[in-house]
Amino acid sequence: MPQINFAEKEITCKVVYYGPGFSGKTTNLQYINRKLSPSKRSELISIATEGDRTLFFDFLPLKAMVINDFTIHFQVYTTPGQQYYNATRKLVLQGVDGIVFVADSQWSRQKDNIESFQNMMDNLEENEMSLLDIPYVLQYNKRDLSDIAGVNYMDFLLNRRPRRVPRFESIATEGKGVFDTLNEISRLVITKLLKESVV
Amino acid sequence: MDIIIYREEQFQIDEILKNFLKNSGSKTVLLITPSGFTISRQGNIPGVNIESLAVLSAGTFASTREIARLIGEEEFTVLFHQGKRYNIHFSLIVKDVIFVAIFENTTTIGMVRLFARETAKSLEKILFEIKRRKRIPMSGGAVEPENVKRDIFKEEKGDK
Ligand SMILES: Nc1nc2c(ncn2[C@@H]2O[C@H](COP(=O)(O)OP(=O)(O)OP(=O)(O)O)[C@@H](O)[C@H]2O)c(=O)[nH]1
Ligand SMILES: [Mg+2]
Repeated sequence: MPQINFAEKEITCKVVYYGPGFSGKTTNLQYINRKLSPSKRSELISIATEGDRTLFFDFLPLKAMVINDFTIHFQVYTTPGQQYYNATRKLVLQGVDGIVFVADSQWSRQKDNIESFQNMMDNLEENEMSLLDIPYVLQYNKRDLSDIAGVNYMDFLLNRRPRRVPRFESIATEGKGVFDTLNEISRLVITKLLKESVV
Repeated sequence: MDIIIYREEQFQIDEILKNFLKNSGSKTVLLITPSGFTISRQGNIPGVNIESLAVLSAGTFASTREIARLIGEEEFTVLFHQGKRYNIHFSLIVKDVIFVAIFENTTTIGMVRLFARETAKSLEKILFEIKRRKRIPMSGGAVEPENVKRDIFKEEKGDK
């Protein structure tokens, strides 16, 4: 749910990167942070454990664009993928305006992808939200690895809902597909905002 | 929960928070929602990124709320961290708005708590209005959704 401030002429939207543990969510944010001009972002905050696994969340504030004099800001979060951090995932999803689901392309991880996707729907429901009204895109990450599932198969697993959504193949460590994903979710979120809000 | 703040309201809230700073002797005060949005912030501590502070405060409060649930408490309404130089006091004012005050040892928690409570009362009505407000569909604005460009964020060549 975007926050609209008429005094500051600011609109703030929340975008969450979701997905199973180790799929590359934090890597996406790190790449964005590295390749975006400082005028469009501020500091990346990561609350991680020693082994780099996300403990609480990563957070990156972005400045998207100006529309009708209003500056649109994004607060981009990742969730911790590890199973036992579900309480945190649920918290981070509160008030979300757009979701990037980062799936791990490896064959051995397809079950985790499905479980994580289901877990996301459950958590949204508990927050009284639904994928039916939240824009989201899929990212099939780690396409550089050898033992990976084909995109059609991953579509069959993850992109079969009534509304098919845009999906991107990526290699987050090299940045491939990272900005395409970010720009698509941004466009969807802003488009929805324009349809629904007085600006 | 939509948060839509009009100009007048923002000025009123800012004024109330400025008064809080003055009266309580605090350094910084933030008004945030549990999902991490900042409604207002006043005062600053040099070198401190206030946006990060807001988001982490919301996270702290949210996890405390989960802890409360786990042990069967309905809600902790106050949370306090004490440091060598700075102390931080979180309180839940109207439902789902978190009031964060940071103060040095030049003032006391008693003062902060007293004025936080008073401030909460002055903010109640206006926050209630803001929270009740819903967005209205936009009719024929200057920007059509189709015109939202595809490359909102540009990837730079070198590392930034
Ligand atoms: N080969 C390869 N490795 C990747 C790719 N993307 C991320 N990784 C690696 O996968 C590991 C996990 O990446 P993270 O970004 O930390 O994963 P995460 O989704 O944030 O994990 P959690 O925080 O535990 O949920 C790291 O070692 C990354 O370098 C990719 O496209 N290809
Ligand atoms: Mg991570």
